[in-house]
Amino acid sequence: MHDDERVPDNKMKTPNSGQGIAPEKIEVKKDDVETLFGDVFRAFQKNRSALLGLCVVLFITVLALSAPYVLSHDPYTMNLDNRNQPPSEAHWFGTDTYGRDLMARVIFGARISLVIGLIPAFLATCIGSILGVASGFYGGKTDFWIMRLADVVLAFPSLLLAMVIMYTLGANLFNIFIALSIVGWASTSRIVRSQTLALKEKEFVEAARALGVKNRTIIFRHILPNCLPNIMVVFTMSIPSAIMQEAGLSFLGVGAQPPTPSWGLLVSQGKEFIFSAPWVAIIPGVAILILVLAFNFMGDGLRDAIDPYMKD
Amino acid sequence: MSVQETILDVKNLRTLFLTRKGIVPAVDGISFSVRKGKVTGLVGESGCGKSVTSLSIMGLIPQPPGKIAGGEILFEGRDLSKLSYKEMCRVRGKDISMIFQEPMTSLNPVKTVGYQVGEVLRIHQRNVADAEVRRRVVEMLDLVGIPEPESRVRAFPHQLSGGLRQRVMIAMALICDPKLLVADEPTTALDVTIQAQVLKLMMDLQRRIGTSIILITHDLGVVAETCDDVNVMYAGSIVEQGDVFNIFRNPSHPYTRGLLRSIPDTGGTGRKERLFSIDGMVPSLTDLPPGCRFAPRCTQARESCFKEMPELVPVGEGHFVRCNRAREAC
Repeated sequence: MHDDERVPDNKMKTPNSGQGIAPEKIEVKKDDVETLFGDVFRAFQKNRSALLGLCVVLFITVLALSAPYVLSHDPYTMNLDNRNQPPSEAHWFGTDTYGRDLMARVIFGARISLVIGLIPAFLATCIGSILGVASGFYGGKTDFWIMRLADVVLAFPSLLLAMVIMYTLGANLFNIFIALSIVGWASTSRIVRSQTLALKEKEFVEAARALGVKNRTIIFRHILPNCLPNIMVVFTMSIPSAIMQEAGLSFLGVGAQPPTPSWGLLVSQGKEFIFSAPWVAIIPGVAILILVLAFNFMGDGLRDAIDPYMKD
Repeated sequence: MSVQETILDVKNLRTLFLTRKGIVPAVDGISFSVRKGKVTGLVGESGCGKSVTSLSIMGLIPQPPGKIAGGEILFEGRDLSKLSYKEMCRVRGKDISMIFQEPMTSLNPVKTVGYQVGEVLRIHQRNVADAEVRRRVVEMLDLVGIPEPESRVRAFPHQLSGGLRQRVMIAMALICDPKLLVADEPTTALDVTIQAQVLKLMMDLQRRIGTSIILITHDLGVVAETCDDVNVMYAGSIVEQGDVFNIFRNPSHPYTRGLLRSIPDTGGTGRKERLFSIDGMVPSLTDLPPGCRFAPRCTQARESCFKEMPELVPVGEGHFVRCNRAREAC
C-alpha cells in the first residue's frame, strides 16, 4: 500500500474500465450525518410531558444551586417566637416547629434530594451495567452467581434492605449512597444482561472476534455502547426511586439526621402537627411529588424517544 | 499441489457439536491445504460444513456445544487449534482475517466505520499515533473503493449501503495485511451487480497484497471466476478436490456433476430445458448413511456404495475424488 502501488488502484475505480463497474456514489455531507442522540433529542422535543419534566427538573436544579444567594432566610436559624406560622409574605411557605423558614428548608432540601437522586442512581447503574454485561457475556458460573445475588437483592423489599444497611453502617449521607447503590443495581443488571445475551450473538461481535478483538474490549467497546440507550433510560428511571427511598429512609429516621433539611425528614417532623399546621408536612411532600413526577415524565419521554432503536 | 508452498494445512479436521439429539459431526475429517497467494474455494450446499470449517480455522466455534475433536489446523507450521486464547487473539485479524456473509449486521451500529477499521489496527499494532491510524484508515477505505473516504470515516454503518458496508468489512479485514483471508459467502447478501464489484475488488487486492483466500460459497459461477483450487463439500466431508480446471472440465464425483448441471444456462443457446436438480435432500448429520453419504441421492449408486464409505482417491494430478466408481471410470 505504498504510493507507487496506488496507481493501478485508481485505474480500478474508474467507472468505465472494462466491465464498467463503479462503486456506488452517495453524497454525504457533514450536516447529513445523523447521530442516534440527535434523533432521540428530536423525538424527545416533541413529547410535551417530557419537556415539562425536563423544565421542572432544570428549574429545581437552578433554584437549589442558587439557594444561598436568592434566599433571604437561613434554613438553620431558629426563631422560637415564630413557630408553625402559616404562609405569609415574610415566610412564603410558613415556618416549622422551630420557627425556621420552611421555604429555605425546602429549597435546601432539593440539594440533598438531587444529589441523592443522581449519585446513588449513577453508582447503581454503573455497578448493575458492569455486572449485567459480565453475567450475560461470560455466562456459566459467572452468570449464575451474579444473577443469584441479584435475586437475593430483589427478593428483599428494597426499603427494608436499605434500612438494614443504614442501621448497620450508621445514619449519614455517605452511607445513604452506599445503601441505595446496593439496593439499586440488581434490576439494572438484569436488563443489561438480557440485552447482552441478544447482542453477543450479533454478527458484529463475531466479526470483532474474528479480527482479534479481545473479550474485554468487545464488552466495553461493542456491547456496552449498544446497551447505552437502555442504560440511560434505566438511569433516568432510577433517579426518582432513589429520591423516594431517601425520603422514606429519612422519614423513618434512618436517613438524614436533623437538622439537615432533607424532604423526608421535613415531612416526618411536620406530621406531628398535621392538624394544627398542615403546611409543614404537606409542602415538602408536594416538593417530593413534583420532583419525582418530573423525573418520571423525563424518563418516560426518553424511553419513548429511544424506543424505535430498542426494537432493532 | 505440494510443489508450491502452502500457508494453511488442514489435516483430518473433525468438528463436532454436542446436542440433545446426539453428536453432530458438522465437519468430519476434512483435509485440504491453501497455497500461498492462491484462492481456495470451499463449495457445497447449505449445511454441508463450509462455515463450520471456516469458524474452526478461526477458533470461533462456540465451545460448548462445539468441539474440535481431532485433526490439525497448521498455519505456517503452527497448530491453530492448540493455541491459547491470547495467542489466538494475536493471530486473528493480523495473520488471518475473516469477512462475513451479512454486511448489514457485521458492523457495530453505534460506532463510526472509521473507528471500527482503526480498531483492528490499534489492537495489533501498539503505539500507533492517532493521526497515523486515521491516515491508514482513510487510505484503506480509499483502496477498497469507497468514494470520499475522508468524510466516510465519520459515517455510521446505517448510512452506508450493503455494498459499501461489505467494502468496509474488507477494509477491516485487510488493514493489517493478513496472510490469509477467510471469506464466508462474502457476496451472498449483495445484489448481483454489487457482487461482481466486491469480488473484483477482492481479487484485485488479493493480487496486490498477496493474501491467500479461502472463499466459501455455494455459487459455482463465483468459484469458476475466482478460485485456483476447489474443494467440494458434502455432508461434512470433502467429496472432490482439485484445481479449478479439473473440477470444471472433468468433474468426477456425481455430486459435483450434479451441481454443475444445476447452474441455470443463460448462455443464450436457446435451449429450453427444465433446470436440473439433484433429487433428495442433504442427509441429517445426526443420522448419516453408513456408506457413501451421497449414495441415497446418487443416480449411479450401486449396492457397495451403501455399505462402505469411499476413500478420497486420486483420479488425476492433484485431483481427488471420494467415490467408489471414480476409479472404474479411469
